[in-house]
Amino acid sequence: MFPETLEEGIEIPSTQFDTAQPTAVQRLTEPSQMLKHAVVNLINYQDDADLATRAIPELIKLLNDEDQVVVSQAAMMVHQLSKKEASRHAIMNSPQMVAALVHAISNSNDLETTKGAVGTLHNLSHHRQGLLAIFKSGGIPALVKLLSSPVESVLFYAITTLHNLLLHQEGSKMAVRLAGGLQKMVLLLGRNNVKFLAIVTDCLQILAYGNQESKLIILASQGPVELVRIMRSYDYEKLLWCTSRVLKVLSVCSSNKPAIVEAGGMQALAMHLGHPSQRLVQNCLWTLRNLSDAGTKVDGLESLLQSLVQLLASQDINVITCAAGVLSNLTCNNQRNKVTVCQVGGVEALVQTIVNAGDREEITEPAVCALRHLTSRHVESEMAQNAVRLNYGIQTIVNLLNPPSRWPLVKAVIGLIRNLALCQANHAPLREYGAIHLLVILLNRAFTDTQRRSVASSASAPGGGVGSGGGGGTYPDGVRMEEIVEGTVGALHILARESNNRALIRAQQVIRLAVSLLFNEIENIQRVAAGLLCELAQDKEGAETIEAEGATAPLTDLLHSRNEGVATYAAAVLFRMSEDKPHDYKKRLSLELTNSLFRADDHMNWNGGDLGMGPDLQTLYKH
Amino acid sequence: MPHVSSVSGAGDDLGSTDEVKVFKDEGEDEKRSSENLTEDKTSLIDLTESQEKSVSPNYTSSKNTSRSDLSPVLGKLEPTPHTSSFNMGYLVSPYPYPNGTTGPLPVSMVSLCEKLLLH
Repeated sequence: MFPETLEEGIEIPSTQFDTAQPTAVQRLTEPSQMLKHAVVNLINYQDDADLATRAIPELIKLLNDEDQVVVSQAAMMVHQLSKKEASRHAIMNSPQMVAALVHAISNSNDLETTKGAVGTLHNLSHHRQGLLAIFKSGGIPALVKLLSSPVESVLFYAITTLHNLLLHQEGSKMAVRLAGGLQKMVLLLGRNNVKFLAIVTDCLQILAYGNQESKLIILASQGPVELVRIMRSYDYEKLLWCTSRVLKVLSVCSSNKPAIVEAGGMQALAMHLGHPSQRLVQNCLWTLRNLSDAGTKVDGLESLLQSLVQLLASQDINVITCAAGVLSNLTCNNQRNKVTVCQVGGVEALVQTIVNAGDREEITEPAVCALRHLTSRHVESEMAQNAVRLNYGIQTIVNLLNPPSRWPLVKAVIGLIRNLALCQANHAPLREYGAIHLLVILLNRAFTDTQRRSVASSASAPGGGVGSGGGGGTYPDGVRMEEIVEGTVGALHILARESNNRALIRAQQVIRLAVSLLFNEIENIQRVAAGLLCELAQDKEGAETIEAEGATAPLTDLLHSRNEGVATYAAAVLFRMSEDKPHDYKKRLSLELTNSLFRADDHMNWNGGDLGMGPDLQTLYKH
Repeated sequence: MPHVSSVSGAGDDLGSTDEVKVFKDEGEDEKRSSENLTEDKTSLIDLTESQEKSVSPNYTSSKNTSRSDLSPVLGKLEPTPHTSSFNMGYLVSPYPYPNGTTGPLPVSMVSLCEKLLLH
């Protein structure tokens, strides 16, 4: 069983008679060897533990010796002891020993002493008890101090020990912050060892997560610039991933956000969107989405926009959600980005994304918002409006007005339909897929809600009475019903340019509601209501119904509105309503309209510009 | 949940207005992900200690991790069987035993092992 114990040359005769059957001794060979090893380990372990226990009191004295050479030798001995588990336990079980090590780090200028002491703390930091002992002995300020060391080995021991503390020892984060660890760690970002940098950035992430003060300290230490530089300069995946996680945490801070954008963070993050590491891509996308509302005026994002459009084809829901969110924000009021996204096939990709997403609102909502931005206010918007139809998007988009869509998505879809209706070729498909009917249902529901809130507001605050603008305070999913009213009426206004649509809108009993909205105190609602009535008044039936609903008085009042759009639409409705009236009536009306509309001619300078009005208003105005 | 931060009326147009949303997704405080740096930390320390060995041979020997390497530190000689075939130095961790129990051994087995170790 134990051939190694035999002297050379000695042979023991075998007792095996049957070669197919091992003897009992042979069968015991393997377990016997294992048992021997186990016992050896036990004995060694006990030896180490005994030795360390005996040596520790002496070593503590030596660590506190006045002679620095003695201290240095003692620190190195302790370091060697700490490499073995049994003696390591003895060290971490001695608070005096840990305190002596911390004291040595804090007070010695000798490199070997420092290395030995911090090397020991590093070994202790692999155990919960060791971490606690370091923490209780005030080890964190001492370790933070070592982050300024010019010696790489000291730095490595210190940062790994601090990382272990931050991960597993309660109270460490605050202690590192208080010791000025954040500032030192940001300074270390200038180093060039990628593994070291990965650990430093991970420490920063742990410290900054959910802690606004830490984020501001990192900002004040020029952290964003350094972190963005790392994203641009290295290709070590773990480092990029850790750095993107710090940037993600910082990017929710309103002070850090513009600093990251200013440092070129969006472009640097965009560089990694094609990386094979999914976790890196995802973190870059989360960060980009957090930054995106501050990046709407940033130039040079063409490459990012193209990558985002490509990522819409991803199989990963989180990737698609983020890509759509970033696209939505970056196309907000940015004509250049809108054109870029259109040119790289963004409209088609977004339509496909919406079709594929089903009722996943986390995807459909930002995608619809992005399409809404792409379908208005830029040179290729008409192309985009057509592209939605040509890519078979209209039916799916209209369907999103139905439950279970929540209000933010519904609001976005209403806005998109309003834009799509600007394209004449979309009028029929929008009608055929039921857009008008659904818009009217939503209008009625939202209007009823505003009325209910107004009444509730008046009842709870007698004398307040300034109702429909926003009484109540809370809104479903953050959407005000007034926005839905304005959006639906605005969409119906554009859809009513087409005669079949007008007939359908009339049939839906919308005119009475539109007339009542002329009294609304929100100017934009007055404006879209007057605009809708203006379109509906083109037809004799429409004009008659408008008059029958008592619109003459409010429209006459609105001739004096300070909002030129409202006044012009009101004038146009009144004019169209007077088509069949006697000559005298038309003459009086004409005089009134002239007086009202041109009352401020001196400062309106309307010959020189478009007064900020849409083309239909300008046409009405000039006639 | 993102929220609309501003409604930008970029002109009194007939189309709908553009809006940005402010996203504040800080992610989850995942300790697990930080554990992935264990290899990097080990690698950094290995690098440090291998450099130390090459410049200060006082407390190490060419036989790297055997128990006898550390004996001079303790001022004690190792029993000879602790080398070569007995080399179960546990610089990393001797536990758990891969194939057996860590429970107490029967007295008869202990005495047997003592005898074995004397050889």
